[in-house]
Amino acid sequence: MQLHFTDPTSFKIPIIGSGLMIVVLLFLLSNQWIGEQEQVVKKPQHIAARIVQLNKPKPKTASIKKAQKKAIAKKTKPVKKTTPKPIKKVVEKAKTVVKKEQTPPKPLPLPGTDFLEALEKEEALNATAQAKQKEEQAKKALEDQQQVTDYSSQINALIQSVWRFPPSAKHDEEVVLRVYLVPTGEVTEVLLLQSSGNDALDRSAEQAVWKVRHFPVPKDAVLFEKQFRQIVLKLKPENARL
Amino acid sequence: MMRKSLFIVSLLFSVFAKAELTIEITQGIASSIPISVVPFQTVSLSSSGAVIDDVVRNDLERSGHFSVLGPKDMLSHPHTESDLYFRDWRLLKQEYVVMGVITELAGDQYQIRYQLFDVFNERELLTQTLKGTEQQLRDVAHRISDAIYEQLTGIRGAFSTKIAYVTTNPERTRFNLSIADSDGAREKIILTSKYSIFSPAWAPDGKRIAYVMMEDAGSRVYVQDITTGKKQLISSNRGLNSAPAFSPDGNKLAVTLSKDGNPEIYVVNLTTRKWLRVTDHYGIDTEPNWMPDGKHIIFTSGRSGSPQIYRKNIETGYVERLTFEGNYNARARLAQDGRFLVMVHQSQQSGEFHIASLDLTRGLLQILSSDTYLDESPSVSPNGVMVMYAAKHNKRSILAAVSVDGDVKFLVPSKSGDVREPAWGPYLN
Repeated sequence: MQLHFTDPTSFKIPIIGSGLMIVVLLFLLSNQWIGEQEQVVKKPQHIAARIVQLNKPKPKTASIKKAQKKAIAKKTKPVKKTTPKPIKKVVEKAKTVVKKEQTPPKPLPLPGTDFLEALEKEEALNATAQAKQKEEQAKKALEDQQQVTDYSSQINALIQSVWRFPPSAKHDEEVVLRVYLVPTGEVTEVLLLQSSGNDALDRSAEQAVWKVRHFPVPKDAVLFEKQFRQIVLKLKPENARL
Repeated sequence: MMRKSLFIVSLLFSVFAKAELTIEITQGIASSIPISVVPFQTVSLSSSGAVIDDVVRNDLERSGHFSVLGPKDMLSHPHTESDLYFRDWRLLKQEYVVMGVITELAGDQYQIRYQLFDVFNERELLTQTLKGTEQQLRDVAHRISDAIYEQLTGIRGAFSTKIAYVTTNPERTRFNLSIADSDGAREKIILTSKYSIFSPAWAPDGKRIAYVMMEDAGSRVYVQDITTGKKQLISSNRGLNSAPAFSPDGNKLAVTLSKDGNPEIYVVNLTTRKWLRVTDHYGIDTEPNWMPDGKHIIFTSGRSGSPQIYRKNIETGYVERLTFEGNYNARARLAQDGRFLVMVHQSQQSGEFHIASLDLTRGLLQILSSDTYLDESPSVSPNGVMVMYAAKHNKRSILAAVSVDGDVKFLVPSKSGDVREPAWGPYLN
């Protein structure tokens, strides 16, 4: 029985070997096929999405946002270098193109070159929209920043006008409070974050907040939530005698 | 450009995302605190009972750190928490309200319960129940003032302390050493003499007083026990024996003696009676006063040509000049843990003598008493807030007080004759 394996005339070794190879090949092939299928599935999805974009030029859909982000990531430099005038022109052109596309009921056949052109235009459109959005965001951020500064200085002035620190206060002492506000600007809670070590000074700071009672806050609800829902006040009696 | 601004904005937002909005306030008001002391409720009819809230109001007003609302200006006179409406007191711009109830107990005893409220934080800060006889009601009132003062200012109250001073009849034939409450009430004479009395100085325990008496044979320094009236002769050297000052531990007395020719400062141990010479200079050295550490003595010296204040370390012998402004600075006392020097200062412009304070940390000299004349012998309250001194007023010598910051000034009432040489006593208890 043992001789069968060592016997050169025996066919068992090649049979087993070839069988194994077939199995391995089949396994590899099946794996490749699955991977290919996934890739194949993805591609049509992408294409489909782009067609939808062409039909719906409104820049608010999620797919557009994603595309815009990709475009920005790829083409930040050219977008920002473009001056406002050409952007406007491109936008107008793009709009007319979109309108023309919309007027005929049947979609255009889109030969290869036309498709590329449309794609470029679309990308340009997306990029300009993105730039505009960014610009708006920046503008809003600057406005918000301005508001934060304005209201902060108003709050500062109000507290200064009522904060009566005790005669024991030293000029280098500091009280830190957290003030909780509601959107009307009304104080709901005052928390002592860091004591000065002087109870009378701590209390005078808390009292100053309650004396003001209504803080000036921005009407913009988003900005309020972001910056004014809770604020930290640092009170230092730098004009104290001691 | 665009990119830069975008970057800055995004940076700002990322900063904000991490930290809360922080507003820094670096200036406040250093003015007096508005407080209302509602007339206390007296359950039983007693004429003396009503005095307590009056005394408290006077104490707080005189301290200068409070502006006290008169009872007539109040909207209501609550005695219990249920009658207290914070909104009403806010309308009157009051920051604190005190109310209390006095009840009579058996055997001439009274019980006094009071509460201190924070109007803006809407909470009770302090409540205490005290007991005392009718004679002790003033003490109770001063103790209430002390507690309120400390709670609200962060500085220990000194209303319960005593002052000593010398009075003379108009003919100047009788001299009295008297002790009274810090508001001048309940005066008590502890010594009467035909000889003039000078420089009373309290021992830190508040039980003894040192003073100088100008007898026929010369000046003498005595230490007298206040309760027993027993006096002890400390110094009767040839020449001048003057300006006694107790050391912070109460065991030693610094005095000025001229037995060696010109006035020098000595220290005597009161138990061993061992003498130690502190200064040795051909200029006049006098008016010693101890620093709180018991190692340094400040004194007036004419060694630079005009009287100036110096400080000497009695262990190392190191001498340092402290005053440079003006041609005359004398009789220095320390205030607020030695940070401020209070002294008699001759104004360079008018040539008048006024009480001035010198901030030893910042080097600022401030004239405190500009509306009285010939101001002399300043004495500082133990909490370092007020200075009492003698001044000329309507050709009489009277006592006046001024806060170390110069904001509050008042005259201490006296009956007749001259009042001089005030000495503010230490904390009792």
